[in-house]
Amino acid sequence: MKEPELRQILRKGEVPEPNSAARQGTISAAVATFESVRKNRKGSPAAIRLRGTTTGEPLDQRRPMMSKLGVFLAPRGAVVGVVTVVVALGLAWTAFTTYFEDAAPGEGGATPEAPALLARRLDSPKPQEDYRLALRDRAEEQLKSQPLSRSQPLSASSKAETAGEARAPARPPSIGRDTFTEIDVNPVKVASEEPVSTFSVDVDTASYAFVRRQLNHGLLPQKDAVRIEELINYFDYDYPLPESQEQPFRATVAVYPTPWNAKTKLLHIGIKGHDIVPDKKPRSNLVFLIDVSGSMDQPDKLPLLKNAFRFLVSSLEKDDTVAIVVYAGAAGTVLEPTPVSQKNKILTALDQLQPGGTTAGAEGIRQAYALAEMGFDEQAVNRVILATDGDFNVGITNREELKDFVERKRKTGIYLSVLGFGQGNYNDALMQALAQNGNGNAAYIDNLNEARKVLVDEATSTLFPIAKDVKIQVEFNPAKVAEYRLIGYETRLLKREDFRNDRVDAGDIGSGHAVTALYEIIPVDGDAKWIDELRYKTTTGTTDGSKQASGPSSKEYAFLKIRYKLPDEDKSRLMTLPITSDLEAGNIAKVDGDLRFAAAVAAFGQLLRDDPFTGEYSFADVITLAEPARGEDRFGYRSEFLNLVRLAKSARALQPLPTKGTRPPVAPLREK
Amino acid sequence: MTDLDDEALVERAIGGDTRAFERLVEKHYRRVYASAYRYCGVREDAEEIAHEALIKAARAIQGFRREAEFSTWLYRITFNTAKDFLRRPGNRRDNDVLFEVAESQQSNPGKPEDQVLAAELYRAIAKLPDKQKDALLLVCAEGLTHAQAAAVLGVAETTVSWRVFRARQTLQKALER
Repeated sequence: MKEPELRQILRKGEVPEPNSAARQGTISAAVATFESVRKNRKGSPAAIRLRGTTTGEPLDQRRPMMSKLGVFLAPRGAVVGVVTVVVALGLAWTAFTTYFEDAAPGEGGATPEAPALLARRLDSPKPQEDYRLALRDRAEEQLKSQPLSRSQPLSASSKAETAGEARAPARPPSIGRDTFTEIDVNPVKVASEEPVSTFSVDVDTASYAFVRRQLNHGLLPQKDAVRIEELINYFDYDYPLPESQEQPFRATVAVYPTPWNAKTKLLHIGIKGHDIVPDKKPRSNLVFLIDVSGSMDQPDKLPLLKNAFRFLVSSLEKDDTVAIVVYAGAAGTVLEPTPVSQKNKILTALDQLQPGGTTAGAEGIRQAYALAEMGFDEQAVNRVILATDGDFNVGITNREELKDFVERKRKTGIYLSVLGFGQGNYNDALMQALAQNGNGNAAYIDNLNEARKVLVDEATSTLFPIAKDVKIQVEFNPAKVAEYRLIGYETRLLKREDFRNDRVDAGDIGSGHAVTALYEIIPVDGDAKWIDELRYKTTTGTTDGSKQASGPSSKEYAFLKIRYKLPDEDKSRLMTLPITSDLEAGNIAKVDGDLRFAAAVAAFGQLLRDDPFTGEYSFADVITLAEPARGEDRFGYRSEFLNLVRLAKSARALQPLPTKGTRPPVAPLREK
Repeated sequence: MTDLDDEALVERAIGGDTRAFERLVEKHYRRVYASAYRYCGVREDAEEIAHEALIKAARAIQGFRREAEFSTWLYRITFNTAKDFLRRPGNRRDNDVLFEVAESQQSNPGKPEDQVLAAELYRAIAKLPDKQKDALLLVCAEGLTHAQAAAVLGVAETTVSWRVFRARQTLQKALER
C-alpha cells in the first residue's frame, strides 16, 4: 500500500474524545508544575537552565535522566530516569470521571516545595514497593497545590451562625484520583416553612474506613469523603430490639442537649434490627467479582482482598455456593458456582488470582450475574460482591448503563455489594451509586481487621437484609421546634413524595444492624436561632403553629415515620412513633452511653468537615465525651475511634502548605 | 510546524510566563492526546500519557533552548512518554482491544468500513518494531513530512524513508494474512 493511501486511511481513524475532566486535570497539573518550576529557580529565568534538556532529546539518543524519586537501573546498567508525576493508573476507569475533583480548574495553585511535602508523607511507600505507587504519591503532592474549587457552600440562612467565625481555609485538596460525590452540608430548615424531612437509611461504612486510613497516614480526609452518618453507623449500638420476630426492627428516640451547642438539642433516632436466628439464616449464593487489573498489585489491594474473601468463605455454611469471576486482567470465570463443602477448591482458586495480565473486554459483570442466575435460589440470598480499587471496566463502560443494569438485576433478586480497596484510584461516588442501585452495601477495606469486621463479624448483616427500601420521614411540630437540621445523610436525601412511593429505592437494613440519625433542633422557646425571623410575616401558606399549642400533640417535638419492605415483599409497611418531650433528658450525662458516643462521633465528623455548626467544640471535647461512653467495646472499635480523634488533632495542626503565593494563613488554632 | 501564535507563546513560556504556558497547553492538549491515542490505542491510557507528557513539558520548557521546533520537541516528549508507559508492567493490553471502534463511531458520517479498516491498521502498527512504528506513525498518522519526522526522531531523513517503507511492507504482509 502506498504511503499517501496509507496516510489517508489512517487519518480517517477517529480518535475518541478525551474525557473533559481528564483534560482539565492535566492542564491544571501542568500549569501547577510550570509554576513550581518557576518559583524554584533562582535568579532570572532566562539565565538558569534545568539540568540538560531532560526530555528534549531526540528519541534515538535519549540520554538518561535522574529522577527525583530514585534511580531505576536499565538493562545496560545505565541510569534511566523517569521524570515524575504520574497520576494513578486508575485512569482506566475514567469513563466515570464526572466527579473528578482534581479536575477543578486550577486556581493557579503553586506547588509548594517538593522536598518538604515528600518528607511529610510519613508513610510514603518503601522504595521496593511498586514504583507506580511512589510516582502516584508524587503526583498527589503536585496536585495538592490546588485548593478544592468547590468549598462547602454555607447556606445563606446560616450566616448569622457563621458571622463571627473565621473559616480555616486550609484543607487538603483532592488527592490523586479518589473521587467522592460532592456533599453540600444540610442547611437549616425552618419548621414552620418546611416541617417535613425525608431521607433513606444508610448502613454503609465505607466512609469511616476511608477516613481512618487517611488519618492513619497523618492526613485529613477530603471533606466529601466524610459522610457523618457512615461514621456514626460504623459502630454497633444496643438500642432496644423489637419485641416480636414479626417486626424486623424497632425505633427508639431520645432528645437531649447538644454537646457542642448549649442552645440547641439533639433529636436522636436509633433503629435496631434483630439478628437472624442461625437456623433461619437463608442460604447464600455468592459470586465474587474481582478486579485483577495491574493497579491491584499492591499490598493493600489484591492480597488484602484475597484475605478478606478467605475470611468470608470461612464463615459460610456448607450448602452456600461461591463462584469467582475476574475482570480487568485475565478475564472471565475462575470458578464455577461451587458449594462451600468444597472449600479447598474455592480457596485454591482465590489463591491463584494474580494481578495484571491483559484485558479482555466484555467479561466481568455480565458474567458474574450470569453465574448468579445459574445458581439462583429464591430462598437464598443471591449476591454479587464486587471488589475493586476503582477500576470499574467491568464490561459495561457507560456509567448510567452500568447503574441501570445493576438495578434491573436487583429486581430479579440478585443484589450487589461493593468493596473498595486502596487509594489514589478509589471511586467512592460510583461505588455508592452501584451499591444503592443494587440493594447492597458499600464498604471500604483498609486493613485486615476491617476485612474481618465486614466479611466475618458482620457477614450476616452484610449479606442478609431484614428490611429493604427503608425510608425515614420526620415531621416537626412548629409549635415546639423552630428550626432543625439533619446531621449527615446529605447523599441520601429524598423528596417528600418519595416516602410513599414504593418505586423509589432506598437503603436496606441487615440482620443485626443499628442505624442512627441525628437532628439538631432549636426549640421554639430558645433564645438563639440560626435564622432571622421574617419581617413580613403572613399566616397563610405556612403551618400554623398556634393550632397545635393546645391539644394532644402539643407535647410532641416531631412525628417519626418509617417505611420499609420485608425482603420478599414489594409493598411497603409503615411504622410510626411520636417524639415527645417525656423522651427528653435534661442533661447529657444522664443519657445512655451509646447515645453519647454517637453524638461524639457526629461531632467528630463535623469537625473533620469544618461544618459551621460546632462553635468552639474541639477534638479534645470529642474525646472527653466519647471516652466514658466506650462501654464494653469488645472489638476495640471505640477505642480505635478515640485514637483517630487524637490523630485528627495532630493532623489538623500540620496544615498542608497552601495556595499560590501567600504564606500559609495560620488556621485559627482552636485549642485542640 | 509551529504557527506564529505558538512562537510568541513559547517565547513567553520559556521566560516564565504562566498564562502563556497555560494557553500553550490548552492549544496542544488535543494533539498530544491524539498522538498518544494513536500510539497506544486506549482512551484512558492516552489520557494518562498526555498527562505525563504535558507535565514533563511543564518541567522542561523553561530550559528549552529552541534547538528544535516546539512541536518537534513536544512530539518527542509525547512519543517517549508513550513508550515508557507501554513498557511498564501491566500496561500492555491485548492487541484486539486496542483502537476500539465505538458504536457511535460506526454510525458516523464517515463510512463505517473506514473506521474498522483504520482500526485494524492501527492495531497492526502497534505490533511493529518500535523504530518502524515511530516512523510510520509520525509520517502517516501524524502527517509529518519525512524531514519533520527525522527531526523528531533525531535521524537522517533517508533513515525515516527507509523505516516507513519497511513498515509498510510489514503491514502489507500482516493484512494479507
